[in-house]
Parts: sequence; C-alpha cells; structure tokens
Amino acid sequence: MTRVSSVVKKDLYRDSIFLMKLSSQASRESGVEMVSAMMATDRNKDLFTESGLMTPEIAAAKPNDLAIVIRGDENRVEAAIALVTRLLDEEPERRNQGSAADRIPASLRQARRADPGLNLALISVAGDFARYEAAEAIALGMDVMLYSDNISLEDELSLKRFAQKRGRMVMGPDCGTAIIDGTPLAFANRVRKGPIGAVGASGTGLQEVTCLLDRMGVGVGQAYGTGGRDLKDAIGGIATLAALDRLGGDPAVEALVILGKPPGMATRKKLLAKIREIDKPAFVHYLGAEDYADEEKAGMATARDLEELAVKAAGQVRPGARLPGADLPPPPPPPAKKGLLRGIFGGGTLCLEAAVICGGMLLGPKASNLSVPGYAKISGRDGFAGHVFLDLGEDEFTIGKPHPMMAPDFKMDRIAAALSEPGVGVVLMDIVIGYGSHPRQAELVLEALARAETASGGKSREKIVVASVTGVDADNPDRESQARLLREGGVTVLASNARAARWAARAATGGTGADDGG
Amino acid sequence: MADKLKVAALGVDVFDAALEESGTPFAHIDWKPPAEGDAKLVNALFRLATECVDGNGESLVDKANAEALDRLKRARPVLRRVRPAHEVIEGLDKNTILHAGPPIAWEDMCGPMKSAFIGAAKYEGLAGNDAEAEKLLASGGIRYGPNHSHSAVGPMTGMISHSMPVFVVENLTFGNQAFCPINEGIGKVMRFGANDDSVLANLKWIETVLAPAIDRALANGGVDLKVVMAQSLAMGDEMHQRNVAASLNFHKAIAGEFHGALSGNPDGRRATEFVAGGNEQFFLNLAMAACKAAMDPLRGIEYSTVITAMSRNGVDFGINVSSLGDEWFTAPCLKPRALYFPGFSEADANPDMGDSAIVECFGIGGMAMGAAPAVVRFVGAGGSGDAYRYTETMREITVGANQDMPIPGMDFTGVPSAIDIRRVVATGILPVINTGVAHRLPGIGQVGAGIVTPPMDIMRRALLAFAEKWLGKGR
Repeated sequence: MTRVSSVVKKDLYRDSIFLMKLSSQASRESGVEMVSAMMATDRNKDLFTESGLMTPEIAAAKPNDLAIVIRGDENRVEAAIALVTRLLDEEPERRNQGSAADRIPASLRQARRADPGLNLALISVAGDFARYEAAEAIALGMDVMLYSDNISLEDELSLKRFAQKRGRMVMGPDCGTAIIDGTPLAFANRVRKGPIGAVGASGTGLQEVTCLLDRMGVGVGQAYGTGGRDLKDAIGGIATLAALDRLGGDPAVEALVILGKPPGMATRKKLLAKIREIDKPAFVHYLGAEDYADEEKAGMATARDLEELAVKAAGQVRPGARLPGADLPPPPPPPAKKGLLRGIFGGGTLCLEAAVICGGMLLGPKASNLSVPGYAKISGRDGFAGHVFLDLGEDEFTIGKPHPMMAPDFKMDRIAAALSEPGVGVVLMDIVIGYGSHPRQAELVLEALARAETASGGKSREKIVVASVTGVDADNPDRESQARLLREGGVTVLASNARAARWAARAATGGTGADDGG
Repeated sequence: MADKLKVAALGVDVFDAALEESGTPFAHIDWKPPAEGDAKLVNALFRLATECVDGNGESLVDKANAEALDRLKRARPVLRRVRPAHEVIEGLDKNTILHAGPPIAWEDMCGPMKSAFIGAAKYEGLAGNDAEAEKLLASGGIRYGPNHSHSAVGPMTGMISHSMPVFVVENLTFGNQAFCPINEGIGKVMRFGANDDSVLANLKWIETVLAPAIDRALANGGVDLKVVMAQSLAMGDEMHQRNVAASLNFHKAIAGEFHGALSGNPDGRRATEFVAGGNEQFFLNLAMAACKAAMDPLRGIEYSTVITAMSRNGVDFGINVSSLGDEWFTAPCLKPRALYFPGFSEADANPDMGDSAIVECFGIGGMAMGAAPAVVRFVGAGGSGDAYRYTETMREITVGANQDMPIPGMDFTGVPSAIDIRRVVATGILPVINTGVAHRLPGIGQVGAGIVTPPMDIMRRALLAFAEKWLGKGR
C-alpha cells in the first residue's frame, strides 16, 4: 500500500543541488515512488503542499530544518529513510582528478594523507617488512597492532622504545588479539562492551577471558594485546605499562585484568608499581606462576587459571555473576577408558594452560612442544611414549602457512591421527571461534572423528574426545551451535579450557590421578 | 584512545570483516614490500626511523628535511645581471671549461659532450681547429669540471667557458648566487654538441649583443624569477619541457628596459625575437639558474636526506644529497622514454644529459606535470588526469608542497618539493624528469622529448651511505 511519510532533520543544511541529487539517487536505489528532500523554507513548503506531500511534521519544521518526504510502498519506506540518512552522512566525494582520495592507498603515508584520522595500523605483512611499516606508523603518530611475527627481540625493543617516546603503543609482535573501543582486531570475538579493561601478553588467553566475561554478562571496554615477549625483562613490559596507563585514565574502565606468562623479575616490579598508581581493582593470572605474594601485597586479586580470572573480575563489576553451564555437574569420565592424553591445540595460551593444569594430575611421562615445567620439550613432529600437549600455532608448524585457527586442516589430521594411535585414551582440544577463525571447526572435527573411525576400524569410538569452545553467542557461527554440533558428535564440551583440561586429565587417569578439583 | 578508532590495515584481509561489521572505518592498503624487498635497505630504513630520533621520538631526519623544505620555500631568486662567466664564477680562467653533470674524464665523455668541449675551446681561441682542440683536451691542457661545483648549471652539454655570458641569479634570502648561460635557441647549438662556425658565431652574437642588452635591461634591480615562475606555472608551463608562458612573462618583465637598451641597435628586432619570439625554451636557463640559487642553501644540512642536485653528463647520472655534502652518487644514465621527431628513433638517442634536472629538485618540471597537461602527451599519456597523477605520485617522495607555486588545476595545491631519498627507496618511486633528447651524434641537435628517471641504484647507495654516516649519532 502506498504511503507518504516524512522525516525532519533539525538544523541540518545541505544545498539544493546536493539535495536534488540525493533525492533522485535515493528514489532510484530504494525502489519507492519518490523521495524529495528540501530545506523546509516557506517556498519549499508550498511546493510540498502543491504536490500533495505535505505532512504535519513538515508544516511544523523551521526554514533551517531539512525535510524529507517519501511516497511509496509502505514496506519500502523504512529502507528509503535509512538510505537517505546514510547519503546525508557520507563524506562528500572529492572530484578533483588524481587526488589522493581517488586511489586505493599504496602506503601508510598515502593512506594518512587521504585520511589523517587513521590512528591504528593493523599489520600482518611479513616480519622483515612489518617492523618497517610499524616504525612508519609510529612516526606518523599511529598506534600499531603487529600481528606479524619473526621480528627479533632487539627490533621489538627498538619499536617499543620509539613508540614510548612518541606516546604511542605497539601491540605485538605476534599479537593475535585486541579489542579497541569495542572493535575486534585480528582473532577476537564479538563480546559486549563494558567496564573491564584487559591487558594480555597472550592472544588466545585474551580471547578466553573476554569470552568468559561476556558469557557472564560482563562486557569489555578495551583488551590490549602486547605480544608474548613484552613481559620479559629484555622488553620490560613497555606495551603492558602503556596499556595500563590508558586503562587507568579511561573513565569507562572499572576493573583491570592482566594475564600472560610470568613476567621477568624487574618487569614484575614495574607492573606492581604501576598497579599501585592506578586506583582501580586489578585481577591477575600468570600462566604457570604459583607465587603471587607480591601481587597480593599490592592489593591485586589473583587467579589460578583463566576461568577464575574472568569469574573474579566479573564478580567485581557484577556481583553474583556466574558462568552458564559451570555449575552443572560434568558427566563423569568413564573409568574404563583411561589411557594417554593427547592435547591438540591451535591456541598457544590455551595449550599452556591445559598442560599446566594437567601437569599436576597426570601420571607418567609428559611432553610438549611448549616449555612447560615438568614436561619434556619435544618437537611437534616427534613421537613420544606418554602424554603430549601440542601447540600447532608454533613457528615449526606455521612458517609459510596460515595459523591453524584460520586453516585447521592440519590440526584435524593430528586429531584423527591421535584417535587412531594405540595407547591414547583421551584427546583434548581447543576450538576458538570468532573473527579470523575458520567458520566450520566443529564440522571439521566431526569429519576428523569419522575419518579416524574408518581408519581404526571403529576402535577410535572407544576413546574420549574433550573440547572447550572459546567464543560467544554473538559470533558467527555462534558458540552454542558449535558446541551443540560437537556434543551431538560425541564430544564432551566443557564451559572453559581449564575445565576441559581438568576433566580430560581425570578421564585419562581413570579418575584416579591427583585431583585439583574444578 | 581519545579519537574514534580508524584503522589502516596492511597485509591479510581476513581481519577486515571484523572492522566492517563493527562499523569501524578502515583503509586496506594495497601494500607491496618497501624498497622492492631488499633486506639491507629495509634494515637501514627501519633503523633510521627508530634510531635517528630525539628524546620525543621526533625524527631528526624529518626535522632536517623540514628545514630543507623551509629554505627552499623561502628562496627569492632574482635575476640581477648578465655577466661574462669569468667575472662572476670563481676560478674560471681562460683554460677552464665547465660541463653538465657529475665529474667525467675527457676520454669517457659521449660524442656530443666531446664536440661541445671542442667548440668551447675554439670559442675561447684556445685552439684553431677541431684537431688542435682535441689534442689539447686529451693532453690535459684544459682544466674541466662540473658546473654544479661552481654554483652553476647548464642545459645538455652545459658548456660554460671564460668569456661566455651567464645569468647571475641572486637568492635574496640567503645571499648566494647561481649562474647559467643564455639559451642559444634551437637547431644547431653547442648544448647538443654542434661546434661549427655558425654555432660559434651565434654564441658570439649572444655575448656581444644580446647579453649586454639584457644586462642593461636589469638596471632597475632585476627580475624576481619566483614571481615569473609562479605565474607561468598557472599558465600551463612546468618550465622544463614547456617554457612558452615563462619566456613571454620574462620578456614582459623587462620589455620596456629591454626596448630602451636596444634602441638604435640594428639587431634590436633579432634580440627581441630571440627572447620573445623564436625560442619557446628561452626561459629554461633562467628557471635552472633560479632553481640552482634556491637549492644551494639546502646543501650540508645535518641529517637531511633531500636531494640537492640531479644531473647527467651523457654517460652517468649523479645526485648530491644535502647532509652528504658534495659527494656524487653516480651510475650510468638511462635513456629517456620519449616521443621522437619524424625520422628519428630511440636508436638515435644519446643517453640523458644536462644540469636541467635541478628544476625537478625544486619541484617543477616533471614534478609539476599536473600544471602542464600539454606536456604529458610527450610521454604517451593522453589525458590531463595522467598529468595530475604524475604530480600526485611525486608527493609520495617529496618532503612537502610549496604553496608559493600552486597548481590551479589541482585545487591550487603546491608543487611537490624537496625529494627525500628515503621515500624514493622505500616506495620504489623515482622522480620524474621532463627532458629533451639529444642525438647521439654531435651537432644534430634535439631529436625528441620525454621523461627520464635517475637510476634507482644511486638512490640506494646514497641511502646506505647516509645510514652509515648518521646511524648511532642520534638519541
């Protein structure tokens, strides 16, 4: 049914030629009969009246208001209004031939000339060049998120010192995750905005914590990644300290969350001093650290794993916040199926967390391609007679190839192989969804399970497969649908990586291993 | 972050979805490896960016280059006199001849350069004929060296000898002077290596009739060349390949006094037509002198990576870089990409020659192609859009725009000025030089026109030399 609707934009001036163009473009593109946008002068009001388009809203408008009338199929009117609004907000096109704005910029400098408002460079080019582009960005006054790796410690220090002098920040190198002003950068999830400010020297660790917070109904204002080496004394936490300064000064941030591998001695002191300066509650978890005496003395709350870190921080801003699904008693692991544990991960921090948690629970020899206390260090391609935790995101697997979170084929092959391996009783994995990640990981896992079943003549069905899904329901695909698919395929899905690790270790030991609860 | 997040993305595009869906404005850069992927150069660029900085992280190089651009913009080149070269150029005795380009030995010179030397030796009466002149030059009886080392420039072969008249241009801001001979006109001329009696007679007429008349016409204080250049830029000249408006504007500036100076002179009409009629490139030599006067104060600025001279001797292309003083970085010239006059082809072309690329250092010529769309047809490109693109591209490698020289067709943006070797090496974009093409055989003259660039290798070597000199001195 045809309908006439109007919108009045108060105190918005556009010249008549612009409005004529806009009117014809909007009519054409929205498929309504007519869009007419004019300043609400008396003369123009007469025109609206003569053409039968006058509305009470326009009659009441002032000459410096912009009046828009739409006549057409009522189902299309809303879309037409949205289109007009967008066209009004669009930057005017620069007509000059050859102007910088006409072209796709070929360099950071060119991009900045076309748009001086660009303030963060997201760099994922090869390391040798990435460090130069990062330096260019800092010189231009931009912050840097350096996803690229293969940058030497010395160059990282040069970049971070340079940024420090310029009052800018370098997240990375090898920074996989950040959320700035609600914008997910690189591997990140669509978590809600809120009062938590996070700093992490770890990509998947930040993803896990921000997602757990979101699932408890608590949002994240900023999540700064710093790169895995930032807390080493060689770097001295330059990026972490810069991030803390910003979070300290950000009035929207109510509580701080800090995570990473344990800092170097000197850096740990600097962080403590910085935390004392900032008058906001702070929560910390260092993966593999046991002694938090200094942090506690400084008034920080500490956590034994990423889930606890998220739960404590959530409780600070939303008392009583609970992780959905966490209070359900997990299905008991079948004691008959014990055997060796194979942890196969795409996320380095999640692998490390799982290995650390399982380390105290598993009996017998253990190995990892990460450095984990109590574990033999092996190459990811070595066989090992014992429990094994593999981070497939390590350089040995990714040189010249995309990260397994983006392209999980290799990870799936390893899962299938582990399920066919004699002696293995439990396979533990992470599934990290969200931006940057492969969109069909649960489906690929099920395909891998089917392949293993064929290859093993059905024997792989005897084995236990455990997973956690790091993500939120706003992600695409959403967390719940990926978890459901896995469950339907016989995978035990737990609410967090830490829980999945504990449960897997109990299963591998037939429930008889040392149990640290959870 | 106080300002709204706006992202420049370099590299993989898988992360763009998050930016799009969250409504974050972003630009995905069409990235290619800097410095054509050369690890050594990228390392030098990285270290310069991160180490050559002051306590606030401000680049010492950027600061020095800003100073260089500031000096360039503040230049006020004024044509003061026209005098015999030996009167104004230090050390130019009877036995010395100056040439275009970086230093070169007699035996290594190209054909046109050798013939021009022979012509100049005859002109100065050092030799009675070609054979005598050659013998004298081969035996070391004549001293020679680059114009640039004597505050001078000359087009093509660029001959300046003892008695030749030169324009004397003073940079009022800095008090330095620069010199350039008077344009000889077209056809058989010494700048293309011609040296017969008619060439020498033409030069003699310039020396005895034209030069004194122009000099007298300047008695009221001279001609502000920057004003002439800015006006002419607005009239479609870039002042390297096209000097139509500039030559007329120059004549306009001296018309009355010039007329007075030629009053009663039987050659008056010839002199007037020489400046304002027959030779549309008359102003080129004045533009060169003005740019040389403007560029010399940029020499020797610590930490500056700005090119202070680009010049060719018909064999080698050479550049000077501000903080590297008078050291030449040279490599064999490239042949121009050109359109040839009927009957000629690239096979006839001499390698690039002349000091005229000083105008590109200043920001006109090829850098200002956008001001002179008529010129762009010489490079085989048709539209004015192509001309604008040339100039826009040059903004990638220059320190900034010179607003005193605005281009009307490009929203009155200033010409791109002060070429930064860091940017040249990083972007792989070479400065574009508009040039005439000389025949490789002496005396035939110009056979085409087009564009040429310096060889990239000299930019790279200059950058590495710069890095070696200044790295570690910062902080």
